[in-house]
Amino acid sequence: MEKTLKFFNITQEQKRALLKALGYEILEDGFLYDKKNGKPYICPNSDEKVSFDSATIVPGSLLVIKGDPLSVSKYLSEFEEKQVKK
Amino acid sequence: MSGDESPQKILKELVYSMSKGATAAVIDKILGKLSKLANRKKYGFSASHKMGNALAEISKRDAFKRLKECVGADHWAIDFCRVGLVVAESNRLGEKIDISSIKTEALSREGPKGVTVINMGSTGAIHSVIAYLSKLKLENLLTEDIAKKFDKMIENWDRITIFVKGDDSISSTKSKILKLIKNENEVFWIFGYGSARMIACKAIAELNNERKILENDYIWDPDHIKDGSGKDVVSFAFKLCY
Repeated sequence: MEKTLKFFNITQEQKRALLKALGYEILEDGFLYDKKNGKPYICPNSDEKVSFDSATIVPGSLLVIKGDPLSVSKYLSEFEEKQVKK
Repeated sequence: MSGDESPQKILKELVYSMSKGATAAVIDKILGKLSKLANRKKYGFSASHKMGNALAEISKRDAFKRLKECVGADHWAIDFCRVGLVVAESNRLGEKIDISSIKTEALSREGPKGVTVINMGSTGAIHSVIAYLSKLKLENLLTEDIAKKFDKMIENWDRITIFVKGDDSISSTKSKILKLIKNENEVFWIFGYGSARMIACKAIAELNNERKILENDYIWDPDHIKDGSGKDVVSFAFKLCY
């Protein structure tokens, strides 16, 4: 059967807690930083910095990506490709 | 059937545990539970969950699947078309969508051609384009050849489309169509929105009666779609057939 992604709403409080637990810091500029090295977190999908507002968490060790529609669409393409290979 | 906790319950547990200063081991255990559930059930978490679900849903639709078969799943515009199809669907349902931020993002990623694909969605034209590409596939064209034609179509979009306006005359519309016919464009589209539908239809009917379409080796396919504001739109795909 075809497996698709299902997105759940996440409140600001839950997102803040989840990102913190995953090792990210949200600085005053609104962007995510890696707590270990202090460097800005770069979305593996779009190669861009990720703001707290746009941060979207997807399966794959709770990977954080930029959540604008085009980035999510790109993630879905990769997700579908992996599903086909399985 | 499963005894899984809901993701919302796990998230609440996480928020509570962190607010109480739980140990790293406790937090890791909760994260592990959430990660396992998300991986197994393919769950994602987003403040824009509606858009995420709309994108996932559109991926299951025939139109998107056909497009992937036609131009290949690795075509650069696939991700843009998925978004374009969501925009078209939202328009059809009369749902508001922040199209300007999508266009800004599209522009920064792929330049004007990215915006063109999103515009195909917002005008509803994307369905007509996919229908045309599907016909090419039925004619046994190779994926790479269809992909090249699609690229050319995107690049020339402004030159191969006529958006008839409500105050256009039938004769000026006919002239515009004839110009595209004389240019021997492989394919071009005419769109008529709202009150312009009748003007587009009459112009094409007259050209048809005057045999200006067939004698120039064109055939045309009509379609009915909805535009960005939910207005009825007629579209005509003209195809050179020699």
